[in-house]
Amino acid sequence: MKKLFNSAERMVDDMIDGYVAAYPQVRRGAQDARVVVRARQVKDPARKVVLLIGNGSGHEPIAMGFVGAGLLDANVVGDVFAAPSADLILDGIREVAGPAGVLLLISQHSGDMINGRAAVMLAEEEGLKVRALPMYDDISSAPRDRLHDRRGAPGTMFVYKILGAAAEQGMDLDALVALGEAVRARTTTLAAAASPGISPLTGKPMFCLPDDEIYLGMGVHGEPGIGRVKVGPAGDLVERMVAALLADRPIARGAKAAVIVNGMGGTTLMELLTVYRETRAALTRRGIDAVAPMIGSYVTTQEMAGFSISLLEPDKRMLDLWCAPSDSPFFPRIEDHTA
Amino acid sequence: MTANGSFLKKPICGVAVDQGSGLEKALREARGPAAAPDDLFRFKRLVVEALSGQATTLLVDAAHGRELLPHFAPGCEKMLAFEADVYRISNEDRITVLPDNLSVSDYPGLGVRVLKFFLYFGPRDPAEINERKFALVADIGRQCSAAGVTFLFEPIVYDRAVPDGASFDFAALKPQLVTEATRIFADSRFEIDVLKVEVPVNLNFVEGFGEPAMSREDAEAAFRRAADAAGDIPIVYLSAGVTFEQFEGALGLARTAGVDMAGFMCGRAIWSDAIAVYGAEGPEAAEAWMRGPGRERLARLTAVVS
Repeated sequence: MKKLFNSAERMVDDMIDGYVAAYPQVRRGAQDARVVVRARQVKDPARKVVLLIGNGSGHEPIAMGFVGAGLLDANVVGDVFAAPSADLILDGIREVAGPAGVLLLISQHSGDMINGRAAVMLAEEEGLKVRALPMYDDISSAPRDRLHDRRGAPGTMFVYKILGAAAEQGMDLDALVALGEAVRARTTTLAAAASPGISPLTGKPMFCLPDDEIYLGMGVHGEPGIGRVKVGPAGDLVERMVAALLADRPIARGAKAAVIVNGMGGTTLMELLTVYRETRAALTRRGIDAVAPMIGSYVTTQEMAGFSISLLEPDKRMLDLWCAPSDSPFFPRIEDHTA
Repeated sequence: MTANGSFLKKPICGVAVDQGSGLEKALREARGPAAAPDDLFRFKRLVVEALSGQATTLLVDAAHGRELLPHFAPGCEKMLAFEADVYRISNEDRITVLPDNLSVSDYPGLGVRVLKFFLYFGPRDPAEINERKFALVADIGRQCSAAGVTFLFEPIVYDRAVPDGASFDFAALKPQLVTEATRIFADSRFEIDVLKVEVPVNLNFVEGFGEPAMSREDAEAAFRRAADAAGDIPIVYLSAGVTFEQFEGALGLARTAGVDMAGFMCGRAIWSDAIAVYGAEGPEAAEAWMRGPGRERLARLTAVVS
């Protein structure tokens, strides 16, 4: 497999070099070159709670692609598929911390949680006002009665965006945590992987799957999920996935569901739009309005083929914040045509 | 703490092939112009396929492990490292880099019941550094218990005042460091099921093995003190890059000392000579070496602890 890098040692830093050179919304942090921070001014820095997240690289554009106005204030970039260290996250917190406090978002994976919690503890010891919000939404990773054991999946983008918009409007730290928990409680995700990505570290496929099978419930790194199904029409697969999502967290007839159809890196927009068509149809058959979709490859694992469907049953405020304007290099404009 | 009867049944005769960038570099240098991008994976697979049938457990790394798991022989307990790369340490505090592509809760779904976590530990480091390390290990222990995964923890000792780990000065300090690290991590708050510990002496400075700076009796006493520090936690010895003959001698010394060890986890001491064979003669020759001298070495170590 051919990969276009200069060297294994430099691949992450080279990527960040290119990123900050290309986009005026972001710059490198002064504390550490692995911290990407928002470059444009905040209207009222004294009132603005800052949002940041740390994650391993190899999943771009998330999360550094979402640094910007109305979204994240910083992203701490770890090595490929490696959780950033607590010290590095602490550097990120120091870089952006202000009087209104810091909210560290953590997509729930063991390493990210361990280091994130440690970073919060260290920051508190320095007198910084910091809270952590674990994010989890993957219904295949644990049953609903063990909700807190679920892992973070592309539905976490609802949390990024809604909290980012609310923070931009001046919401305080406690209210942001409460809002984040409410969004998390209303979000579910299920993924379907069609073929593996190639690890830039090993040069090898990250899992094996026969050509005629799809793996339901696989995590963004190839973590185990529900099991294999035979490839068939997209509509059949999506119907099964939507049914599973709604079985896990029902949405009443007449309610709205905001939808994310996320490509894993190697699935075409042509396919993703087809998946959205089928998702919308599956929801419509149940009397649910699909609204404000986000469709594209945002949480990727190299060239892994597949997609995930995330549903959020939003209240009015959540939907407004989800659709609020933002300005980051890779977060798309979201519109609610039903509004 | 998590019960895993079949794994904890003595003796544990384990093979480790969780090395990352260091092994990759050694293979690249050994192969020279014939080096291929997948040499590291091929070498690891050779180890798994040739030795897992004879080992009670085999340890693989997080980066290659998932693809290696199907190659295990039936009956060999799968052990997966919870580290991004064992040779990449995040900062001067020497805290292991954690993977973000693997969660403790994923282990059962992967068919893996044993998690290994490695951490450099300096008993004489500042308290604030060690408190962070304690919190990290306790966190992983909690997650292992919650997921029903056996937790094998490997502290590797160092001392900032004596940075040369091969020196006589460090050899003089090592028994104390290993004993202290073992005592600390045997505490129930870490929820550790098995401690993978270093041999507490440097055989290069022990009478009968190398320069006779330490008598054999003193060495045996050092083994006993370090093992006693583990309390009820089973210990397995790691080979930590020594030669096969040294590791075999170290296990023999532990046995003579009367240490109640659970077994061993051996990596390079078994298969490091196969790197040169792989480089000079290719994968087929390395596989033949692994099935010949490699298996013979594993059998000899097994005999020492059985």
